[in-house]
Amino acid sequence: MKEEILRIENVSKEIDGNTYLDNINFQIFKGEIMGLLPLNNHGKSQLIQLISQNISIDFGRIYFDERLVNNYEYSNMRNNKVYLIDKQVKLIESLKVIDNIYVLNHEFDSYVINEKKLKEKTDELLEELSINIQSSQYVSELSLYEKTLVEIVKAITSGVQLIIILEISNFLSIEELINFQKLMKYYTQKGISFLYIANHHEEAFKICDRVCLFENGRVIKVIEKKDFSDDILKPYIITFENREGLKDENESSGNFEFKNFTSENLKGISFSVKAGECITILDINNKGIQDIAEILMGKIQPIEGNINLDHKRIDIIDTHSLLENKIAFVPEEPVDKMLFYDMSYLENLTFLLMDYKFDESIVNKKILKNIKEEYRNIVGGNIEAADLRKLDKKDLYNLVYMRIILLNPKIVFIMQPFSNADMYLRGRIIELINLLKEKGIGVVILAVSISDTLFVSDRLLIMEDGKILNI
Amino acid sequence: MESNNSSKRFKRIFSKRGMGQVITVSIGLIMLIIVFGFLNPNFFSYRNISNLLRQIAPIILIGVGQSYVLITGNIDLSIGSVVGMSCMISATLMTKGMNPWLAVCISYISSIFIGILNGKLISKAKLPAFIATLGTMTIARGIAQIVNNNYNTDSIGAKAEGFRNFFYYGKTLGLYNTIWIALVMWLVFNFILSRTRTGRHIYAVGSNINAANLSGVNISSTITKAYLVSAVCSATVGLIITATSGMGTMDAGNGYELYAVASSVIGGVSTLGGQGILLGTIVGASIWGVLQNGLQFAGAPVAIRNIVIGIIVIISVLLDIVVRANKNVTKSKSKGKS
Repeated sequence: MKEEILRIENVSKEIDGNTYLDNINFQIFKGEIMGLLPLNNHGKSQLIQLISQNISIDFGRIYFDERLVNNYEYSNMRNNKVYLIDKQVKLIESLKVIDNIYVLNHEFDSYVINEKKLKEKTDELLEELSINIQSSQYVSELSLYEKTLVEIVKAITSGVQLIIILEISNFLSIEELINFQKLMKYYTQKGISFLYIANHHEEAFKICDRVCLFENGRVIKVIEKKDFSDDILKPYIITFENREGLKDENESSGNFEFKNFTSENLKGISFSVKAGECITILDINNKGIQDIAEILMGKIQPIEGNINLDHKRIDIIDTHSLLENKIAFVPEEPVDKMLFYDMSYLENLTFLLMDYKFDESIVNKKILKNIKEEYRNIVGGNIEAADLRKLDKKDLYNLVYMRIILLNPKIVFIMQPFSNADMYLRGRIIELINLLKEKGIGVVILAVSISDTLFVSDRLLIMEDGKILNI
Repeated sequence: MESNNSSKRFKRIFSKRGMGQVITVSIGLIMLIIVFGFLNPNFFSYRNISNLLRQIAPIILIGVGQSYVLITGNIDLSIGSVVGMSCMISATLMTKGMNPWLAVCISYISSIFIGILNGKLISKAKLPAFIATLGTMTIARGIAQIVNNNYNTDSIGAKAEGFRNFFYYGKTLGLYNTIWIALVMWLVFNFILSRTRTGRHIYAVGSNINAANLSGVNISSTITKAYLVSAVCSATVGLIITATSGMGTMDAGNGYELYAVASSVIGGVSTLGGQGILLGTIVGASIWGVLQNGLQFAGAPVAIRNIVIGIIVIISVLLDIVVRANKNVTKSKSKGKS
């Protein structure tokens, strides 16, 4: 009989009258990869928190390693042997890999640190796992992928039995994801269990032993590996369609050209986009698109290369000059990076207007009033919102994209548009990107995972080692 | 129907940025005035009110400067020293026989230099605001001391009568000029903050510096402008002190940076940046002034006055943190719902 690492039995949890977890039932066995497909984000963070720590619940029981650790009558608030791996790295950047793996570990009980011995131990371990990282490197010198590997090793050396992997394809490239999943498989053979939370069933089906569908704080279905198929999910998920399909690259010679760009990680890449067209640059080993994003944000300067818009060369580069030249940039998970939570909806919507459309120093109340009335038809009553914190994520994404539409740029670069978005939000983002295209705005999507980008893209460019591949 | 309209109007007023806290603090101010009025009937005398307003005016000015800086998410500790520097430079030059108005210009220029230095050290050299302005605080105080060889100045003399009347003793339309200066400067800086692009940029930098950067806001220029306003306000207060005493004193403005923080924070300007309005700074400065004046009337020693004001500042900051924490809870809840 299989041993259980986690059993959640009839668990419900309410916060301030809202039910976040509603009669949850599922178990994870030792050495198993259990998938979790959240159709929306309601209750997802509460479930992760509940598995990690025995916080109070309103109903049900939780068993960890076959012991009752939490029930509706008493919650001890202790942490379970669970580790969460997500984009937020929980390592100490200013310390070395060995310090993070062994010294900052509650299993480490020596007062004096024998660095030589620890280094040998760490090197041996990393070699066994085929991880090519120097143990004496500082964490700050590692890439995000390498940090993720160190985190998983650290978790296991500290005795963790269950690892929650949260939407990892949002920040690992296809190549990195394959290697990471190999490491997961290796650890399952050692009895470690995983809860693999992913936004796409295609991704979860590849790696998981079972998958549960999660919506509005409820587990609505558990699917066994033998039943994995697109058909079984049809009643539960929305399918998106690309209205036009991918076009041949030769069809377009663009009015926006990114020519021969070279930086530390870009090896002379060139591409072009036409008005109303959407292209996706898929970086399969996550080495180039960060550089494109940083060039666009003015954080780094390219070694060579130029940008032409309508055959006119643009001397960038900082965000200000980009916007002056009608080029906009939407970062990954833009609601926290582009919005001002101390300003009203209307102030956020019109923020770029005074600088880049009307070039006025004094706020023109008449213009604001007209915009307010025009956009009331599109965004409804939200236009009156004084506090953005009360809006949901879908409304905030609307605001981000409406601000861009109002600015009417010629080109928009969007970094990983579907990152951390649930199914319904992804549907809305697809609509918003299509709206940009309808307005005649060229769209360049920068992505490390194919995700839903094909539903909006007219062309797909593959980037490997900083070069665009000819396919 | 009418009550519906008035409730809508009330909601609209409350929903304006920072207005909620201003209204709350204003109620506190009114209560303080009533209490002190009952304790001492002379509190409401024309003479006391007039003096009280003149006493509050410099605090409003430095409060306005500090509010600009706090809204960008920074702090200006050099305010008091810039006040002292402006006071000493203007007084020294006047005692040396320079035309008072030329001395005023030189005082403004030197203070503006400190403002620009603060802005650039923080935005370009990336020094923490606390450290950068601590440094310029010492530099400005050093200049205040060195400008007259470590001595307070002699009297600025009869030639500066016009200057003294303009900044302190003179009256226009029955009100002391000091009050008019504070009022006009407040109106100008309030307009800039609430109705101009620069104002929006200042709020944007304090609210979310990364978003401001992505929106093409020139962060360095915006932060420097805020420190510039602070320096101009401080220089004006230094000139008011010169006009008041008729001489330059090296320790003029000592501790004013704390009064500036107190008036801003009591008035609802957030120490975390991005929030607050200058109407609140007037109310905050008024609470400071009324407390000082009222407690003095009630015979409370200086130490007690300081303790009371200190407690009020702590409560105001705590309120700000609690309100922000609640707002963030709302944000995470809305995230959970989506």
